[in-house]
Amino acid sequence: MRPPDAAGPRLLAAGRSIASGAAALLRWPLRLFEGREGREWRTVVLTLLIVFALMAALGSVGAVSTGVVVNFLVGLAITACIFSLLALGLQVQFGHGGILNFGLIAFAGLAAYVMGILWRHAGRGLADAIAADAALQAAVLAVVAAAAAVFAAPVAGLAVERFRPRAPTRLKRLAVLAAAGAAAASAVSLFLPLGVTQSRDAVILLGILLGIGAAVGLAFVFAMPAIRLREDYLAIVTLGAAELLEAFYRNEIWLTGGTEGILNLHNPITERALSNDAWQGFVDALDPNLRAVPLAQLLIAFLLVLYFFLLFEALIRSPWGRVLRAIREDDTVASAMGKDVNRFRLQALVLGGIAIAVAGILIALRTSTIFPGTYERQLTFSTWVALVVGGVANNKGVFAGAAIVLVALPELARNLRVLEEFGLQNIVGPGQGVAAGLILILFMMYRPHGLVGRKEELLFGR
Amino acid sequence: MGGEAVLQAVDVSKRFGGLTAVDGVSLDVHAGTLTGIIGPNGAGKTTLFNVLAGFYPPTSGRVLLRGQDITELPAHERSCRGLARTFQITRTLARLTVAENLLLGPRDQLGERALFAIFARPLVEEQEAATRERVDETLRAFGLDHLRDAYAGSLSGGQRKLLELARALMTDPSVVLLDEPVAGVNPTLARDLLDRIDRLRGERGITFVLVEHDLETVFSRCDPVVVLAGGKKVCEGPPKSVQEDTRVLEAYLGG
Repeated sequence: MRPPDAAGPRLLAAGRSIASGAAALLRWPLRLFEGREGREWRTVVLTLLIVFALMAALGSVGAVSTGVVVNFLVGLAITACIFSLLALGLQVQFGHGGILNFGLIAFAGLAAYVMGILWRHAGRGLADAIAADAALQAAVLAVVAAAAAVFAAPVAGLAVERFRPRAPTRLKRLAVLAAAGAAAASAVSLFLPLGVTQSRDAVILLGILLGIGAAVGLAFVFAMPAIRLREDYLAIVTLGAAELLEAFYRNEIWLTGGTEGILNLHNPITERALSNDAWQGFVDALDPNLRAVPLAQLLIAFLLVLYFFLLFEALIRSPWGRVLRAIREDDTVASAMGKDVNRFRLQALVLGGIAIAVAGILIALRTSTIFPGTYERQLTFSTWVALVVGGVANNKGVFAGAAIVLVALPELARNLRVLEEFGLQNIVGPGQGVAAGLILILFMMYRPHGLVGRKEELLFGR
Repeated sequence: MGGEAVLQAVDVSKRFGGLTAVDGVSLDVHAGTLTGIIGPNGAGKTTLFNVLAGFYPPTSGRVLLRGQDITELPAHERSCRGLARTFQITRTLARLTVAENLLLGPRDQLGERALFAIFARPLVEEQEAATRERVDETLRAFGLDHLRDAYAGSLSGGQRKLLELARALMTDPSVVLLDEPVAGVNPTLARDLLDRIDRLRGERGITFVLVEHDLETVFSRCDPVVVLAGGKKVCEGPPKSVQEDTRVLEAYLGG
């Protein structure tokens, strides 16, 4: 029999362990900033804070209400997420894989156009057919479920590994399967019942999958010269391929709508954000100034960039990433060590290409339109500048680089319009390009390894 | 001579446009030997190496590894079958650490497959731990353990030669092609490297083929010695007989 007064010390012990747990939880964010990785994160977070503080200040000038400023910042945050994803794809291809891809925008453009063309030419009819036919519905739901399962599996795998590193393998496999199954089920439930609106969502989802598939195909096409050509030639070939695609978008008007683009794309994000009362309520509770659609876009873009970041981090730190870096250093040595150089290059092109394709689709879904001018070489070069400014071969760098080069810079350039009042119109247009070039030159001179790149790695370049 | 022929070149020729770098060379490398290939500059030694290792496809002729025709196999598959090589000018993977250079060696690493790297991390980690242990062992054996986490690009010339040999050995080779392993290395380290090679032949039964300019090294260490000149094999045999062969002198003096 336990004496009743033992409850006191036990309560005290429980309280103590709760307190120490809470203290550990509170210290955890601080521990993120320790060590080399932590310092790199600190640089990234500081850069983001500075950029967004600057942007808030910029947006506040002459703003009629705080609502305008808040929504302006949400818009910039969406841009930051999408362009970080774009740069992240390039990071895998070039930063780790050493593949000089100067046609990266082709992955984004092709994916968006495949989705857009499907919608433009078959979208409504296909949606009506799906809504009317039970067999088609079943097929669509199966595709949705499979896509969700494939998408969720890596997250589940990595999450289990992170939080239960010592659990037996069978349990982990089960957890992955369960998570994938749950993701599939919830994705399917999102599309039920398959009325006309849901069917249209499904068509866009099919378009997204086809677009990603097309980007994977493009990776195979890019891999062919990548196998045979030296890096500098590959840069020209990829640039040429991207130009070719852009000319195609502009000129095959019957298919792509030419320079007028593809308008009125059905947009599942918009539909869902506007029709979902719970989301509306949540957004209103957060801040009455916020709007439901941009915040939904931000959430989705953020989750996607986080997804690809975690995936690529896990891969780059694995033996797979080691081989990829070895190939970047010297492909002759890598093949002498028994590594199939072509396979790894292809995989880097495919994985990076998928990230870039998803970014391209997000760009299209943001405005529900697709224009050839969006997927131009200008964005390729800006992404390259962002990569260099952030730091090559360090995945964290893309967030800082994209925030500076692809978010802050265009906004600042837009504000150069003020100069028009002083009769300096001619500066306004080229201003952004000049500024991007200037930033690149300054970084090359004073911080060639970028914000979070590793300085010592520069010393031992080939 | 040692046991059976592990690596054979059968009538191998390699032409670059109008230049015939290797001209109908046949060569049998016997198990457990240290075969030395010598010849004046431009004799085709390195080209022959590149054909053997799979970096150039031969214009004609065949290459056999343990009796199997590997002429059509790319370099990485030859490496997986136990044919390793080092390079004339050391090629370290500069922005990888010394340990990472060696970690590349073992074949069939699960973690090198993208899907395993994501979905089977416990298995990958287990294998990786064993590989790391082997790497540490090798680094200690080569006296490079204090440089374990240094970037390979920061190593000195001699250390790089050691690293290259250690890295090649991590692929578990049965035959190692050494392209000028002691060129530009101080005499003490050169002796150390060659002693290591002798020990590896004895302890692990690895066969070595080396190309070297330093004739003294070749004649004192290698048996047999093969002499190439102008892309052709001039003579072949034990060092003593090769040394006395007048054709060798002619080849070197441009007779």
